[in-house]
Amino acid sequence: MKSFGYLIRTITCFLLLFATWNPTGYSYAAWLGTDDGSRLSVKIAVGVLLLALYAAYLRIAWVALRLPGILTAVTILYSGYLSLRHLGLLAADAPLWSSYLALVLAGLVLASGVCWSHFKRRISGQSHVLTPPP
Amino acid sequence: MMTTAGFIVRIIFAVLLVFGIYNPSGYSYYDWLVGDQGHWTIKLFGASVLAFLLFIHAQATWRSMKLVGILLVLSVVTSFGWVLWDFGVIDLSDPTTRSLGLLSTVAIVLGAGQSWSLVRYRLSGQVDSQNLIA
Repeated sequence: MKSFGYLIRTITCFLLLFATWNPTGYSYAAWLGTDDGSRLSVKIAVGVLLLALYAAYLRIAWVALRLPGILTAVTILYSGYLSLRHLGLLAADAPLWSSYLALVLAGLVLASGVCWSHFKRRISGQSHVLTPPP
Repeated sequence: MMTTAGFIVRIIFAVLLVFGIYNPSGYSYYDWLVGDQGHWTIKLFGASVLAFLLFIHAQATWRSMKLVGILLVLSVVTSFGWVLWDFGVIDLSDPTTRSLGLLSTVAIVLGAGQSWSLVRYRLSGQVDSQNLIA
């Protein structure tokens, strides 16, 4: 898989998380709470679609990374965030930033989980297999 | 598919990684870590990235070659170093040369381990795989 594939997977992970909830008020969670005249069936159907996507993505990421991998990814990303904050590239005290931070961290961890098996196979030639298929 | 360039790039990356962590010139991650310069957040970020990369290399090496392969690579490198010493190319009584040789040996073992699954696949068609759901 080429670099573009990693980019696409990362973008879809971000889309999934930001579509579920984000601080701007335009998200699935915000839509659920408002009464804008859309039918309940539509809200439920979109919710089930999101749930199915989450089940697929989280299962893939969990199976590839497990707890040690997730902790490693969080350590690297969080210490990178602390470094950027120390260097002054990111404002530390903006209240909006903290929720974006959680979304971006979660999106990057999810994306690294989704891409990990491809990456590992390309770098070291060791394939991940699932037997029996889930 | 493994190419000669891919093999060389993996070896070079392992050499950069090992010599970046420590080398006798005094300009390495270790020297930066124990020195007074730099903030702890950036040092922590560097530590987590280097530990991740080193673990990836060690895991790929162990999975592709196990103890026997590592010992074989070590004996090839050691005997080659002996030849160089025998012909007077390197001077093993110099501590700098000794540590450079030791670091190069570690780097070559890690680079060869990272490449071996891909070399084996190209050579024989045998895929190295890891079962994620035991």
